[in-house]
Amino acid sequence: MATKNKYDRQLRLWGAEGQAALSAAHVLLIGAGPTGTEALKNLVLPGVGEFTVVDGERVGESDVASSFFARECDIGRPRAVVACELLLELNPDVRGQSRVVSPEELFRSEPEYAGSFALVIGAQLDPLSLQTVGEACWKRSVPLVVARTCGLVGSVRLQLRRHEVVESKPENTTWDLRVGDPFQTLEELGRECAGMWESWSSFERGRVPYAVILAAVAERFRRERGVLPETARDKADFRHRITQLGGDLENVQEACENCYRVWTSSSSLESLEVRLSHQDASDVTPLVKVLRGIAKFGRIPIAGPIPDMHADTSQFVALQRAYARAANADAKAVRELVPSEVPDDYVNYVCRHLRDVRIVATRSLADELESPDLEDAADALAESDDPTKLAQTPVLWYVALRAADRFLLKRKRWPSTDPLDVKDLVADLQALSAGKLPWTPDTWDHHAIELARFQNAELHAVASVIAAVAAQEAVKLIAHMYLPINHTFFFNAINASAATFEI
Amino acid sequence: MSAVAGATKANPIDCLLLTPTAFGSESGTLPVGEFSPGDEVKEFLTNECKVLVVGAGGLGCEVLKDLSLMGFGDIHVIDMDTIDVSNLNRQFLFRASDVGQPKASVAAKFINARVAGAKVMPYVGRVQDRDADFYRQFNMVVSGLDNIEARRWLNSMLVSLAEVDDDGDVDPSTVIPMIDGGTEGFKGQARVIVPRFTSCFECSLDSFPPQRTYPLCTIAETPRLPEHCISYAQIILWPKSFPDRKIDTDSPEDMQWIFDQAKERAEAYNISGVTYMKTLGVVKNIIPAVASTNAIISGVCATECFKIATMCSQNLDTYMMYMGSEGVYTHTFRYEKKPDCPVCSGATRDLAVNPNLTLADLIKSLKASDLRLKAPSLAKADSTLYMQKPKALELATRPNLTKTLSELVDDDDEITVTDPVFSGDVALSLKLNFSLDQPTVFGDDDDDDDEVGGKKNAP
Ligand SMILES: [Zn+2]
Repeated sequence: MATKNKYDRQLRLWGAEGQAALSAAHVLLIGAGPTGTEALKNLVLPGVGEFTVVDGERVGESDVASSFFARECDIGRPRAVVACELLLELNPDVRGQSRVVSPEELFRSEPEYAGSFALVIGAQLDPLSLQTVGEACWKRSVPLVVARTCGLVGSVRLQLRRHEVVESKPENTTWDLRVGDPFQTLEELGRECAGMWESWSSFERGRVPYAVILAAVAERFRRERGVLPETARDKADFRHRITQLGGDLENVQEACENCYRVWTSSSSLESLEVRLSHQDASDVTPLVKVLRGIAKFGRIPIAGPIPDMHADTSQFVALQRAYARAANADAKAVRELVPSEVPDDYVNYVCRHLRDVRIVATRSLADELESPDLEDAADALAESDDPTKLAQTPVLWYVALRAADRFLLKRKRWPSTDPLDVKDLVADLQALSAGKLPWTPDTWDHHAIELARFQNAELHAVASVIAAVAAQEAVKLIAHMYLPINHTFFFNAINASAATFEI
Repeated sequence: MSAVAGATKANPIDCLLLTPTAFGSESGTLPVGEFSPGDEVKEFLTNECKVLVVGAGGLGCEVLKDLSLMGFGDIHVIDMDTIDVSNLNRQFLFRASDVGQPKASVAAKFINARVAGAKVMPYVGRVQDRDADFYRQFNMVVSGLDNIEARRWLNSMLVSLAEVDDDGDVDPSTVIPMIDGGTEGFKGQARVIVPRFTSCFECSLDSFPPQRTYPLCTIAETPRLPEHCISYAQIILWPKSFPDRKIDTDSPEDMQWIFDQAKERAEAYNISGVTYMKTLGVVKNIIPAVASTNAIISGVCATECFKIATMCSQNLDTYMMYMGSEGVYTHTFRYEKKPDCPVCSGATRDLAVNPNLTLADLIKSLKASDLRLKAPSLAKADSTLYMQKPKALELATRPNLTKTLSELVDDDDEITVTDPVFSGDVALSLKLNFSLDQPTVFGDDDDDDDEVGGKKNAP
């Protein structure tokens, strides 16, 4: 073993900053069944700081059969206590405690309780408890992750009043090269390159990083035409000018492939309109303060980092430093426009990642219950025309599960496969979807019988999937990195299909 | 009402296995049989169905837990690795005190102690060291491997076990489904391979690009990134300084040496960002891994095993991909068979070759082609052209390497190729078509500069 750090493999994803946030977080788990304990397991392993488990149940046969954190010898003991013990075994860095109390009772007597946690996970909560917990978290702006398994289907729902992400870490890095709108040093390098190109040998030409080539050609283009390429013809002409410089040189080929950066690398704040509009938020967070500073600054500060470019070492390193210097200068100027209580590091951080800043707000659980928006559902259904697959569309199962929950709320029991129960369920399904879906599935009775068959049971492997998605969202939320879902992830294990939708 | 109100007090598995459904395996797009609810199917799951878990790492630990809690009573696990500290952030069956122990044994012991009724049997060793009789005993195989090599080999073994009669019909009793999972950071995929019926692992080889490398000329002459400096220390400096010894990437001393050299070079070129962690990442080609993604993919794989074993629901047809970094994006689709898949199609490939090419050149080109072979051995219908093993045969056939193809074979001749990336029973057929338009030499500049920037998009 060449490393002593057991977190090595995850640090390569979220870095020391993400890890610090995770180890500083205290997470509340409500519901210590298979889904809940698996979710917490996936937070304890990567090193969450502390957890509290709340559950009022005792370990029974079905827990032992389907939960990894309840053994035969634990039957009769409180689930919260057993789960806490067994979860703590996984990682000595983590602290944890349990409270043996029903969640509904706890949140009724201590409505402030949720406020002391970085994040709350509600696992397998019945509809009433979920309402109570949902409201408590919404009021105190505590992120809530709701995980639910029912036989072969399950869902993860996020309730976020307002969640800020600075490093959303998109799959494809959005490099900020400014080749169409260069800062002073880049402009000078471009001019030098344009002036010398004719006199340079092929070897010397091959040493220039493509950003400099693009800046040079862009400047000449603008001088001649007054604007940067806009139409398809202009762009083709621009590309042609680059190829003319020597299509056999690798850096010229790179310049050609990256032409589009000339007309997409604007520093104008307009291109960030959406994200900057959040600066009017009533909750004036440090991020909002920096965004306001940037609005005053008047343009997007330069990010700094650049991708590798085929070039000679010294020219590339010099260019890299020029970008870094320009970025520092911009960040310093922004710093002057941001209230002093916001630390320098944070201002730099936001300036560097400004293009990736995202602010996510979901509907509240109460809103969703009151007026479900099935537009996404309708779209998903309109897309498919294969009847076998159509019956398995995740969003149909969402609707079906909701009807079963209403049945549970009304009758205090889960529907059975008895024809009377099924008739009731189908009637409710029809009422829920009437006029909201493009067509009424002729398989509603099959859906109803299937849910009755599931008995609301936490099938371990399905619970494990749901719990892991919940935990992954929790890590993303705690680290304020990557983009969380908005707002429901639904998994249909019948044919292993899944979807994310906003309802 | 309590947290589990409305939930059954029974074993959740019974809900599925004892009640009829409109959505049995037969109703889906990849039917594997007809569901008949009752005690018989439960009996099969808990007592008869024999499943092999390949790999006891991030995916394997999860799969073992999932299968044992899904009622599988006869589980086997094979893994060659020992436990490392960097496994502990996700391989939850291991503790710090287990470091250095074989993964398969520790994992089996943990599950057997924790889950009532579980019976997990460990095997410590390489997948490739087991023969057809070993694999034939299982009803299905789940693989959670971190390397392509072992998955290709396993896939070829399972495909070769599925017997096809002279009419081209497959004997269903010889078909062993393979459920394969893989993860990288927040991304992953799970798939069902029913040998001869669905696409196989080899059909999708192109979607697993070979390991990223940096062009030699960049590493040697114009380094710009910390990675270039690290690769220089690894590829150029190490063999110079230690001609008799390979790098032990698990040795902190060796890695420290690489790091120091890389750092020195980076400083000479004013390049910043060479750290010990980055050095490890580049030299060991480390892929980021988190508990959650492994649990997601393993859960999907284990659910598929359960459904295939019991037919109590439809099946994944055939591929599910998961991406968790920008929200959650998933895509479930049928991965189609590759018509000329070297493993499952049985098709003969046409290969245009210049008859003046030497046999050695042909072997080199096969290794670099999309077939990604490692050490191909070649034979004609009536004679051996070149055999890598055993030693005596290699010596006897070695003179052929420098002969031209026109001396060895005729135009349109069919040759068979075997290779250690596939199990012994898999041989590919190549039909050599002589063509003077093809190059006479192969690969003067092979792995040198096919990366970065590239000629692929040349205008
Ligand atoms: Zn194939």
